[in-house]
Amino acid sequence: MPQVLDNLLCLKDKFLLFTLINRNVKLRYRRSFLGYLWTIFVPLMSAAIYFFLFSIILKVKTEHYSAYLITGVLTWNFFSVSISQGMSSILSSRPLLTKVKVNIAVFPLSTMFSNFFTLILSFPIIILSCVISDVPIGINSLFYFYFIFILSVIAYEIAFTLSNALIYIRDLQQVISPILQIWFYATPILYQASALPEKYKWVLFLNPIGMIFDGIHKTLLQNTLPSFENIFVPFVWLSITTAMAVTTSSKLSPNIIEKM
Amino acid sequence: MKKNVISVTNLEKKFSYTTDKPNNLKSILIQLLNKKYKQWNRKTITVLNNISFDISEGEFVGVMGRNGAGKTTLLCLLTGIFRPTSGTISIKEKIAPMISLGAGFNPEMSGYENIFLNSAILGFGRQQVLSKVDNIIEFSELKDKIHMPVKKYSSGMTVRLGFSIAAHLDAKIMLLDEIFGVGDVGFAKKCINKILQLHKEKNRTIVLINHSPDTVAKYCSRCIVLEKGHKLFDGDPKEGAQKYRSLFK
Repeated sequence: MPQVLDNLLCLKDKFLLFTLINRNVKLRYRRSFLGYLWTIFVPLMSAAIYFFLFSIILKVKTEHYSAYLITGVLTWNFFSVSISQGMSSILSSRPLLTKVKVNIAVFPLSTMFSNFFTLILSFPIIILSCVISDVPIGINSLFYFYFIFILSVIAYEIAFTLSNALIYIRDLQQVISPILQIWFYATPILYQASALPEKYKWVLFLNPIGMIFDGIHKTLLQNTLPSFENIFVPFVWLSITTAMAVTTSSKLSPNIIEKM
Repeated sequence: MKKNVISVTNLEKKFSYTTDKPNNLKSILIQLLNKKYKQWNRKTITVLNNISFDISEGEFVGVMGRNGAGKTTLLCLLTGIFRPTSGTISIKEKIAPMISLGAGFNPEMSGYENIFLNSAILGFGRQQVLSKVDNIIEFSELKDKIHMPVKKYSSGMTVRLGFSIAAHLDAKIMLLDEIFGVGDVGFAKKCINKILQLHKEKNRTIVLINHSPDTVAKYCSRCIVLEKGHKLFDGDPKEGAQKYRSLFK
């Protein structure tokens, strides 16, 4: 396996990766009373707000809307938190990195994994919401895991690239939250892709995760097979983000510590 | 013929920085309009210049020099944190750096948890840590305080734990940066003895940065003196200590 991929996947640093994930998971809610419930509680609260806003005030008529919201918001939450936390993970480990030689990719990767752990813990909620709102769960629902896999790889590669870029351009720290906000609305989470007007359909293709969320809707919530675009487009984006991460790893990463 | 574990040839390290370069867009634009950008002079400082040496297995090398002579930069280059501007460094064995003890400690976590975190950062595997964890706790003299969060530790306790971790893991090369001020007199002595023991019994290679010519003359088998990024002296520790003293006359 080429050196770059070895570095990106932290194959030589498995124990460190595991220890860091363990640290992130343990520390996040140490000394809080509700502990891990918060990770599920907060996105559920925003799902409830969206439900009230769109279903009760604006009277959007979508079948199983609450299940769409809960699945979408929890999955999006994993993606956006992995990116925003992962982006600052290298910079915040600066005191360590100037003392010991460490593969810097472990920081964004461990951030992604610890958020993935949170997502796993929220699976029961997703399933429960599907059961309650009578979603026809079937064999096609298993595609959800396929989409989650692609989504986590894209999240990690974007986080890795941004965490390196942040060392050179500190403005990213401010820019990331409005970007994620736009990204959220450009992704079929609050609405279904089929509801997009024809002239805005391109957004789905231009958004690296648009087709992934559409695929989750089709498979998990409608129990139908994903379309060709749902499988193919994320793959194209996956190769673009991989190319980005590989370039970053070979061009930017070696000089990062001196630039900090 | 002993085998070389560290070989450094024609090593050069430069750092570059700019003076008076504005760091925000507004002032950059203003200065571009005023054509002041030519005044941003990019300066480079050469921290290490044309350094070559080989260290063979089992040597105990003391590195001395004034403040700013490039000692710590040299150590950072040996660990691979910095990359040389030119020249080559080849390291044949695993390194345990003790540049700053307890650098990776997480203050919220207990000493015990930090043993695992810190060892992982230093690049060791789970099995090795598990087999050494009792020795580490014993040597650090922390006893049941090991389960207290590190933020409640005194600075002495933190470095004691940091030293214990780095000293107990099986790295063939140990890089020490002015760590003999660790803890109180009793523990400092214990540290020196531990390092000497590792050096003698396990044939560890040790590179030590130290400001005390007496320590270097007493323990080291070889001494390198750096002055303004050049290698001023390389050889017998007693002579090296003399050379180091003469820098201040």
